[in-house]
Amino acid sequence: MTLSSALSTAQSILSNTGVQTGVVSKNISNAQNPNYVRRSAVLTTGGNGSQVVAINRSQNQALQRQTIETSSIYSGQAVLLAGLQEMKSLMGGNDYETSPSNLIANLRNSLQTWASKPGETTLGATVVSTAQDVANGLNTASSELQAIRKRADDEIAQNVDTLNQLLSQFETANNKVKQEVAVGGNPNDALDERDTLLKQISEIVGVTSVVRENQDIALYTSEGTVLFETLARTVTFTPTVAYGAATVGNGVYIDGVAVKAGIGSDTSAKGSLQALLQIRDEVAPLFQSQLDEVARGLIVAFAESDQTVVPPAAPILAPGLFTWTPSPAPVPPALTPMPADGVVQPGLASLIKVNAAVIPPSGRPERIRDGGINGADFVQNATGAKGYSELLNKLDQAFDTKIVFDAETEIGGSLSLQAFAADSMGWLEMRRSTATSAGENKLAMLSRATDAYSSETGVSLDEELALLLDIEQSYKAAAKLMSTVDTMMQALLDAAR
Amino acid sequence: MKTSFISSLSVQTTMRYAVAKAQKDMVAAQQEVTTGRHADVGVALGATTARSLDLTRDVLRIKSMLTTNSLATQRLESSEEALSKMSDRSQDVMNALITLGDSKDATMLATFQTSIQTALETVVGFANTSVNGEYLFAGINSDVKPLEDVSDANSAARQALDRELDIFLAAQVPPVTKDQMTAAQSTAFLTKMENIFAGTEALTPVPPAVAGADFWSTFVSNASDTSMKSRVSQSEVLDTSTSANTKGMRDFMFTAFVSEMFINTATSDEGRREAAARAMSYIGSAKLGIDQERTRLGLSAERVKKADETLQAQKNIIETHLNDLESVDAYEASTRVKGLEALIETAYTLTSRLQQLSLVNFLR
Repeated sequence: MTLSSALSTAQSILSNTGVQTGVVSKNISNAQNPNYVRRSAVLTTGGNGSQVVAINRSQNQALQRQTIETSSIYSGQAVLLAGLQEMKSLMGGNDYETSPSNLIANLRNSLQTWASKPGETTLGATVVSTAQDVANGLNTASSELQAIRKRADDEIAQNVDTLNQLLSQFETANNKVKQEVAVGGNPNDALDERDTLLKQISEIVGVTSVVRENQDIALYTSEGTVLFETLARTVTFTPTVAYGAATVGNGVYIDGVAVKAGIGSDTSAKGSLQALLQIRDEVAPLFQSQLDEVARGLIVAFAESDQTVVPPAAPILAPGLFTWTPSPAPVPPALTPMPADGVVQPGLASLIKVNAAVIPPSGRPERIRDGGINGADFVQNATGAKGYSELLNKLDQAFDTKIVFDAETEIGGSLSLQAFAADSMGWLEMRRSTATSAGENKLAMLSRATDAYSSETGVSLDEELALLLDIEQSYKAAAKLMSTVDTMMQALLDAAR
Repeated sequence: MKTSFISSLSVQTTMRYAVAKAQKDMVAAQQEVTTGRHADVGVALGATTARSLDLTRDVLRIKSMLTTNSLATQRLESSEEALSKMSDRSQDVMNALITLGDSKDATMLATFQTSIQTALETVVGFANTSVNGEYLFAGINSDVKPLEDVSDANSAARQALDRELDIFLAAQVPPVTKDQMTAAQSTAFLTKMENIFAGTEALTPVPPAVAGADFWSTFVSNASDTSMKSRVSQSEVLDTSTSANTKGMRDFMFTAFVSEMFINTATSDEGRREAAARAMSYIGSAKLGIDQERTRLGLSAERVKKADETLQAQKNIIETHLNDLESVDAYEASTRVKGLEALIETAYTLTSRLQQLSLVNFLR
């Protein structure tokens, strides 16, 4: 070992500390960056002293996979919950003020009040106005529900755009990684970028990654469709312009394969796309069908029968207080038909209205008490006596009469109108309740996974500072070494003079 | 190589999550303390929400029934009161008939006529009682005054009967006048009159009308035979009014008209005697009929009272149940607020401590 080799070792220490300081300062500057993975400069001993060999990234594949997985699970649940919350808010607050159930109860009460004093016209007008509240409530709920579907559709379109963009960026980042690895360069920044993109993609669609040669990554959706392999696959979607109860939205296709909607309130959806599809195609349409059945129940409860029909003949029924506009609309002498028994009439909730024949000033509310909304043949109180309460009492009873509701609403069966309307709220709240607690669980999972991942890959300022002290010490030592060697060399040169 | 097991970022975010969660819970707990209900009933109850809605609706319906029942009670009580007054007037007429006895004395007959006139006026007055804009004795024709003003000497009813009498008298062989009527003729006419009042015989047609009109519904009463019905509980619908067309009322009117037409000086002694006997038997049955009607309404009133009691009991039970379902333990909620308060405070203190705790502060 010679003095000059000692000097060159000292020099290499200096250059090493330079690189290490660089790494540490980069770590410190990214201490608050959640997408940054900590680097460390690893030294290996070479022939003449230490040598910087590599800058390592503290990557942890297992934890990263878990973070990505939980983030897509949580994102799906959060989107579904938001949709359910929005549907619930249509029904009012804790007292369900604007729910059909509540509006119908109000109608029944005003009907009951009128029945106790059938001669009072103002009470009749009150019944008409509460009936209008019911019809308006159903119309509004129905149109808002379709607006929710439309918004979900818009959001899907937006998500698909973002996803396509993210995938093309992912392709660029992935290429950079491959290139750097192949030439033995430093792929770390590109890796950070790619991980960030992966995290963003996972919020939209559930994704699994497979690492291959040269750190190349292939992405598959949780359902197994190829999302990215060497090249980004296209995600296609055609938005629907307007939504009605019978409108069926278009599917989302990844590489030509349709994305499935999430299932259940503790949803199976991974990523926002599946959850949005679930809201648009399952939850909102189901709730719509329940509203439609409530509307049908109202029309049936208030139907009038033709009094001229003699009993053995089949009764002729026609919509009474509540009616609807079927398409095609009946030509005037023909009566408005009753909606078909036992099946959902799509969009009925948006079509239901109070019969114009009873709305003052042009109509007469007394027609509810006496019958005859559909003409003289339907009059039950033939003498027009003002104290006639029989029909009103019968209508009041009709709220408790069981009719068959379509099983497709998930709460069908033989039920009274009021029970069905309340069950519909129960159905919504059950879903929202489950989704809320599932959301809390999934958030806890996500924050746990993020914590673990961040602890494993993030920067600890204290650690970096401690390392900096080490580096400072070894720099000082190297400087001391050099000055010592210098003194020794000087002494040697002096002796030789 | 990484040697630490925590990153600076995760120290901060963990604390941030904890504080955010605690604050959210705190708001909910505060709301629960003040309202005594779950902050979000739907989330707390899930599918049971349907049940809670059912119960709330039942309570509302019971409340509304209790209100409308008070209306029915009012109607029943007023009707009963009016009927009781009518019954008293029937008794007065009976007393007057007894007092009169077989007397032919003009003064006594005049006094009797006055008392009949008064009784008739009073009964018509009571029958036309209206409460809350509804005529009590009109049946379901509640907006129409049930009885015409039959106490007026020139009322259409009286003219119709006078005409009927004239036709009867003229049809006799030989034709007679009122003061010549025999007992048999008198009996025949009174029986005819009975049928006319009961509605089993029509009036003699007035040309050019083909069919004779029904006396009662044409000239006396506008009431409907159907009584008003009220729903007093979820399952019970009761008659809550009576009508001016009941047998008691018809009998009273018959007595009054017979008395006025025949128990006077213008009628033959035989005719008067027959009429008095008929009036006597009819006023008895009138009083009986009116009292029966009173009893019927009294029973209805009793049913309404019972229904009210049942409804009240139901309401209490349902409200208790609803309370069990929706309410939160206020004590538990306020303890939760305290706990969360302490938690948030600790979190704040820790955050500021941890922020200070950095190696940077110790390096010189």
